[in-house]
Amino acid sequence: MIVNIKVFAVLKDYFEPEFTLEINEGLKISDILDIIMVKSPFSSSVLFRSRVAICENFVSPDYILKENETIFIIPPSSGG
Amino acid sequence: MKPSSSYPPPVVDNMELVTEHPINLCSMVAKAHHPKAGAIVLFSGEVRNHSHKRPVSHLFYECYKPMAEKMITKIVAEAKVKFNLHEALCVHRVGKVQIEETAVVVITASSHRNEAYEANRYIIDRVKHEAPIWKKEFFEDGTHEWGHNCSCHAH
Repeated sequence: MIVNIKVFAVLKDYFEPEFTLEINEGLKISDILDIIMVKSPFSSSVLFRSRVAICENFVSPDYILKENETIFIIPPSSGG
Repeated sequence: MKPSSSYPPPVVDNMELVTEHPINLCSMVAKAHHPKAGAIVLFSGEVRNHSHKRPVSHLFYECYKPMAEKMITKIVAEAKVKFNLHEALCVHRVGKVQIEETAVVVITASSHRNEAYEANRYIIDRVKHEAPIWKKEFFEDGTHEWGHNCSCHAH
């Protein structure tokens, strides 16, 4: 199945701002992070400290993805 | 506050919580007056011309706007209850922000000053650490770097 991924800020140094991933059903958020970490190993230090949101709410690493869902990978905040 | 780089200077009148326009502190304070308030505290987070001993030319803020606005709303609402505030406002700039401009403002109004001071600190600390807003520093030497002032969400 397909899931959509959007990344922000420093993560755009490692990935396209938006991309899709074809994955097996039943995968969790943590599995997705592992998959994209392999694509860009230098992103791992940021990904380890990032949170993930779906529909503007944070979800846990155990959240199981559904077809066509869009996940937003939120690196550590640095506002102010 | 220096004159805005854009003209006419937009005013945060409609109270956007995240704005690309320069923040007008005076117009924001004007919204915070309240008959029960004996104290108003204003914090303005400003762009300084140096970072880690390097000269800074300007900052750029990126945000995930719908979520940032939702989180700022929630943080401000929680602070109003927690500190018994009569009014609380918070606005964050995004896009390019020049030296001496306001990047974020928090205004708190309460019956007595203690609550206004404490609540103000509470709001800015949470907004900085929790809201999906990211700072990119642009240095005088032409280099740039994403900010990394929070590592609270390691997992």
